[in-house]
Amino acid sequence: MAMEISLLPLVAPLVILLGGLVSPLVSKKEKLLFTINFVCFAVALVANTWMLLKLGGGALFYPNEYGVLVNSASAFVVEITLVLGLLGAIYSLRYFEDRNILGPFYLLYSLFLTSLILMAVSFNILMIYVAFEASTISGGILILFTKRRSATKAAVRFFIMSVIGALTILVGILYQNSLTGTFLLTKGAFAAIGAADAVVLASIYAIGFGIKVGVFPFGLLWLPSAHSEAPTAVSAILSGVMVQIAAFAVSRVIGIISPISDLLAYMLIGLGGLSVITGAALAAVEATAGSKWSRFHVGSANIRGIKRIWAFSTSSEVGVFYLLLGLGLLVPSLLPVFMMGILLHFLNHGLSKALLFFDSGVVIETSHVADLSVLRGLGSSIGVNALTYLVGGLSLSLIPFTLGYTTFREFTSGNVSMGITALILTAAAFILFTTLYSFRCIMSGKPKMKVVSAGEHEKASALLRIPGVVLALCILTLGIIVTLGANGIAFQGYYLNIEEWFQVAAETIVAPFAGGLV
Amino acid sequence: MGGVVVASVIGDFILLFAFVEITSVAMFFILTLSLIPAFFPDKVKAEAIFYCGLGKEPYISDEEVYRPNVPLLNVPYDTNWDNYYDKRAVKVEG
Repeated sequence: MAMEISLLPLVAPLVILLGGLVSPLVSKKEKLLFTINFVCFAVALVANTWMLLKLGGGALFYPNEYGVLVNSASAFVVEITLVLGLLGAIYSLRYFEDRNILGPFYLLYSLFLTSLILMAVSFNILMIYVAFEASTISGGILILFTKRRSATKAAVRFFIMSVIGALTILVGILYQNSLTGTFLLTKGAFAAIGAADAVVLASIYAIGFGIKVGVFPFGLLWLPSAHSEAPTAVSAILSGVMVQIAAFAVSRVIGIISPISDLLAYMLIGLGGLSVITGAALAAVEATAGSKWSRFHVGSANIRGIKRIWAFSTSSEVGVFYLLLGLGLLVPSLLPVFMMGILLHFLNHGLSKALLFFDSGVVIETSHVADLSVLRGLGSSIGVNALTYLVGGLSLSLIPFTLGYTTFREFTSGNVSMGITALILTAAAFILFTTLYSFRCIMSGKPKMKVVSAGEHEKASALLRIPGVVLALCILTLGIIVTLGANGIAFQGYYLNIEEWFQVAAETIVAPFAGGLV
Repeated sequence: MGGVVVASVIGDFILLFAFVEITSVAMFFILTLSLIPAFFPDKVKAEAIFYCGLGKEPYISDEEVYRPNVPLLNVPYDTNWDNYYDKRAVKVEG
């Protein structure tokens, strides 16, 4: 398929937004609210899956190439967004005690996801910018839905940092317009600008988007608090989708500008590397010593927050995107390989982190405790979700037979220096330790203080359990295929097809269609 | 907002963008205005409303004087989770 005009790219954002807008008007009954949103997500998912399977190296757009444009890379990113969005919608039905806020929640949730999808499906920096702002507003308000004072503080931090990021991007946009006379992201537009201008422009975008991505040091100011204080489904989307789509957007922008500068490449590698190691180390500190030592906490009590652990881990994982981008700029001939790494890491981190947040939510809902210091062990109360929690953690630790093996292969290939490989493996070791330590606290915690529960641990609703199980199955299935296929043991055909598809998709991050320079 | 519509009709990209940004900043300003009072709430001492016995006794307590709602959602804060466990279901001693 080549470039074609079609209404299909509009289906996902419009249908989801429509579901969120219409459902509160039609009914206040929670089941009907949920059903309408569920159907809308399902329709969007079907339309996007069709495009994902059919597009190949081509693209569909509406109303022109610089409006909404879906190619393989965009469709892949939107697919993950929709899958996690659907699971989040299912999870939210049983999450809120106050049923009256379910309608406004679904409205903002759909607006949030729509804005994230729009960020991914455009080669127009203005549209990306507007979607960026819309996601900030809706995402920030969604954080407030836990109704805690600490959540308000987290939302304020999120807003302030996002505004600073947006203003930085705005400077970049105006600078781009003065250089190229266009807001469009095309190789042709940037071909004529000077090398120094390209470096300055790419640096501005890297910093502006970096704030939203959550790379070191900006991310630590807002990411751990916002991602841990939000309702669980929103935490899963913030970590599994939002920061990743911001990383996808900056990969697209900088990939198209293609500045030739070792200094910029080293800056991206440095920021990415610091994020990777700092985030992973702080996650381990949070799990063992608590917020008094890991810092960046908005609550008054010193805790070992189960969601804070995974929020710190997110600020580590987003560093991988900047690392890959920097490596791609350093060796332009390998840019397609590292772009493929970005897509694969998007998949691994998206599914694993959303899974860990969903399962952390199950722990919290079952035990009524969000602090590992107070958890007395849940044993069989969370049942299968104990195993799925482990799967998520192992995948982030880059263990074979999970999706994390794809990132492991990327960083242990000959394309990456030993220093960076060591950095990534050290961070993976921190995350593995954190996973096992937090798992032990969940299963057999022995708090120092006396903890009395009013009743036995409740069984979590089946709806809260579904997302963790679905995501763990995806991580294991794809992980087994990749591990066995890459090592020539089994599923080689499937593996080669997957690899070939990702190679084509990676090209379309920086071009509307494979092999196409506009 | 009006500026955005007019600039769209005229077709001036830069003007449109300037208005979009003004609208955006205004929205953030309003948002921050609503968030800051919740972030830094004013405390009022009920005992301070005392006119040396000339007036009536304060008829409200400190708790009632200022009880902000969650900004934008306009629902009361949930204080049960202030210590990151549900006070209604779990008791922690020591």
